[in-house]
Amino acid sequence: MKRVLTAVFLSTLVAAGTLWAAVPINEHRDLNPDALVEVELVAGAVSVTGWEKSEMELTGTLGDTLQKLEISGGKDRLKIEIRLPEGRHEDIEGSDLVLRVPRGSRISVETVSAPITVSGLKARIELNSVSGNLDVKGSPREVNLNTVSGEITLEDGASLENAKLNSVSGSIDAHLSFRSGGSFEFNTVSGPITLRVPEKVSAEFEVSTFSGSIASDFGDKPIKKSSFLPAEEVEFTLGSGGARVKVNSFSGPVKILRE
Amino acid sequence: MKHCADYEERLNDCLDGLLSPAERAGLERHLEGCAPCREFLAAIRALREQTASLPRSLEPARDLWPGIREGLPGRRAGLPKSRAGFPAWLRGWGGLAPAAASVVLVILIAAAVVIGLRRSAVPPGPGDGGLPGAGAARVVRAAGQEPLEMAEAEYRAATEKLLVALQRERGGASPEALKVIEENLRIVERAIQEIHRAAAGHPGRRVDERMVTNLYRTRFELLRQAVRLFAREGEEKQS
Repeated sequence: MKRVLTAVFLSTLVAAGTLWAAVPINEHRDLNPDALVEVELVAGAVSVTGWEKSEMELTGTLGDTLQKLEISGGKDRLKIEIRLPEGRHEDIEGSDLVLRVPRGSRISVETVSAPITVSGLKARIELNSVSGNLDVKGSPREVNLNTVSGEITLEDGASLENAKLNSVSGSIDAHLSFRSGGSFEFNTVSGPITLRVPEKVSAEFEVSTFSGSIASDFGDKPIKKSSFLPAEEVEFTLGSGGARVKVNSFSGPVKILRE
Repeated sequence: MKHCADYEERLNDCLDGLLSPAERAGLERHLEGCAPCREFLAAIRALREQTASLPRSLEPARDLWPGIREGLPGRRAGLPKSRAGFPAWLRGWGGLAPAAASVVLVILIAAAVVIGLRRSAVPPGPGDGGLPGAGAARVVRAAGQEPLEMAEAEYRAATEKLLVALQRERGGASPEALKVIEENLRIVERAIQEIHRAAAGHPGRRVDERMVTNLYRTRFELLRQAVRLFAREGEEKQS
């Protein structure tokens, strides 16, 4: 009897292990070079990389066998979603999605806690996460990055024309070239903002905070907006201007560092 | 005549600049032969031009309304996806369409009031106490604060509907995701309170309207995202 029970117990463990094991993903779809790719995921991680092929490759793992991968749309517009298992909502393993798309693709990713990393794309990138970190590298033309408590890091390859980075309590760390004619906005309530600025940049900066601090390697010392408010602001122009840079923090510290 | 439901999303995407050249060409070919879709496009373009004059911090996000629409339970009850007479981002709300419309309207009205009063009032500088006319200016400023309070009240009323929906759907949510959403809702709420406390503690300091309304919008987006995610799981259970 003992042997039977042991056998049942072991087979249950094996079955459970199979059920809960991560499931490899390997999906391919043809895509136009400027396709819109949308991704939705709750937990886990998303990594998107641009490549030269006119194709989407999705690898990585689903959290377990009960999660469902859904890919809809066609060559112009593709949507990737992970559906969570029915009836089981505890101890859900996140899915790790590794995505390769044409460099000219426009990408839109939305997560709850999953961090998102994007590199090697040339067009528009829109990332929204509640608490996941957002990390963008490469040469996109436009970025729109939003998070509540996640950290945002952005490294621009000098092609960025329009950037909007918003956080509530998460930090923003950006290393940008501030392309002439571009528009760049950084907003936070309590998160720290750090901008790393190359020496030879042409841009007009407007930096303000209500109760945070401003430390800038450029321009004059920040001035107080009034004698009885903690608010500080500083404005300065580098080179001949050209790009417009606005930094606004409520209580988070702002640093503008010379690279 | 009714426009083609299949092209509804594409017409919106066209105005958002999200279409590829091939998609845009296909849409233009369709528009050449479809008068209802041309009229519909003109209508949503006109509506957007009107809202474009509002402060950005109070303007609804492009995908806010379709996102909420997708997530609200009325949709999975088999209600019709399109409702003629509503702009695209208000369509398909089923039984909740009037509530959704009222949410949009109160926010837009509140924004319009903020603009109107802002245009009619020049906020006084911090050092104007006791100067001639300062009393009148202070009255104007006090009145100028009210629209923001009104907008906040309306935002709160609007998000109440989503909170109710979230309560209904939370049983379908993973505890981890729910925890993240709730923690971050608290972060946003604390940030709003921090801004108000700071303004209250510094006479003459106006509340940063843009930041506050952006936070309300963030709160709205968080709830929208949560409701959509959790309702989607519930939808799967029903199917």
